[in-house]
Amino acid sequence: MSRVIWLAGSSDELARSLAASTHRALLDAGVEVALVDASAAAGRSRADRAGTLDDLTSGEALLRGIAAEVAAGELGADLLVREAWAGLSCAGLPSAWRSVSHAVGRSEVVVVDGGSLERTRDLVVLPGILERAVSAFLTPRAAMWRSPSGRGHFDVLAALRDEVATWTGLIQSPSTTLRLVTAPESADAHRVVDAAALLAMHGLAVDGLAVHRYPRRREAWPPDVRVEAEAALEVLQEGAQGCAVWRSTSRMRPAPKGRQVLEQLADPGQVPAVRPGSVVLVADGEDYLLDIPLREPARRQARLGTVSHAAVVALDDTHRWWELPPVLRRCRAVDATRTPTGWQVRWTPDVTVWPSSRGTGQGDVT
Amino acid sequence: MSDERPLPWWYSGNESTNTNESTNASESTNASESTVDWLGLLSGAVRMVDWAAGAVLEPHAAHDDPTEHPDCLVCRTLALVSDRAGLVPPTQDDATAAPEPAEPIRWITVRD
Repeated sequence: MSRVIWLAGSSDELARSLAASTHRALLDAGVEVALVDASAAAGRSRADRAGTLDDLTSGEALLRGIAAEVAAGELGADLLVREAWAGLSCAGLPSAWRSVSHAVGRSEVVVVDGGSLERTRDLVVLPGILERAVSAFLTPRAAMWRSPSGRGHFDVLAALRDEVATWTGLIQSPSTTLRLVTAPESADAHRVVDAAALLAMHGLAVDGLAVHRYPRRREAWPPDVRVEAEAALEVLQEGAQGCAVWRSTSRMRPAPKGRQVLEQLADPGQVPAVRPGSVVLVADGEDYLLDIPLREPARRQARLGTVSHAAVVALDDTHRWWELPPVLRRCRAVDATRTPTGWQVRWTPDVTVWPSSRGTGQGDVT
Repeated sequence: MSDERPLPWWYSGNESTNTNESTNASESTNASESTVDWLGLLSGAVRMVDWAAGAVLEPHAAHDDPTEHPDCLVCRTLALVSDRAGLVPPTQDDATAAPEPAEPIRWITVRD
């Protein structure tokens, strides 16, 4: 799989500058690199030049498979004004994902311009929502309606689920890292730190935070601008939690001084992110302890829940689900505490679902 | 040299030409009994078909919609096969049945 460097910023322009400088530095180093524009601006430009939905985005096929278009097609209704639908920012999300996944595997390195923090948030949260929504449609009864041609609704949805799963895998891959850039203002720096926590909760690990443009000492910037820039840098340093932090004074630097663009700017084992392998389960007597790595402020502000066979972490109107390992499906979460690196959740065997001889570990349960 | 030609293995009519009389006799007897049994079975099968035609098929001939005649054996079979093949859309009862409410998330308080 390609090395993926995902870039986002407190504004579209900052993300684009960082993406361009990263792309340039890799080209100068002789690396085969693809630059993918996944920002909202790319979606708008596609919508502007498209006359019909067929020309718009491949996301149309994706959304057709989900709900509204299927229902409309079956009933002969025209629910959507196609040009207006294309103007919605969400219509470009699947298309952006397909551009990214198309580039992955075809280049040694893929640089993704994720645009603003909000755009990257939408992109990263989308696969988890789609995966659950599409899976909910794939019921055994729906499977009975599988088309012999392989192009029925069930088959479209099954293919969609598989495609979305590759997006999720790309987010959570160890070879994918996120770098965020903020304007030299403390409010923007706080937004970047919050976004880093939320995106890490969804599996996209952050390895670098940058502030741009930082005033040089010899430049005659007004004192309050300089103070504000220093405050922004301080916010990033406090919220780094293992990430590299750097500042750019003129042209955007894609990595801190003395570091290579391609290298991991932070030790993946030290950067909190909810990824396969980072959520650790250990036995503690008859109980089990589940360690969930979370960044601040997710560690303090997120909520923990369970539903069916999944755990849920909710923050800022987004939800991260992950299927529990089989042993925890027979247990109940009885306690959760904050640790310096995240949460620790205690699970105890649920005697109502364990076989009687294993309910207590000592004998039959009556 | 003898003019007598060897009998085919399937011929059992000339018992005197065969040295193993007892064996051929018993085979001949079994063959005649077997023929009688088959005829009996055949006549029984014919009676069953007649009974089925009178008891099952004739009443079914008046059934238009198999789903409306759950007591009819043919209708039940047809409905079952059609449903398995995905040829029958969900009934109105299925479509309007209230879906099971989604399981609510059980939130857990995280302590410091």
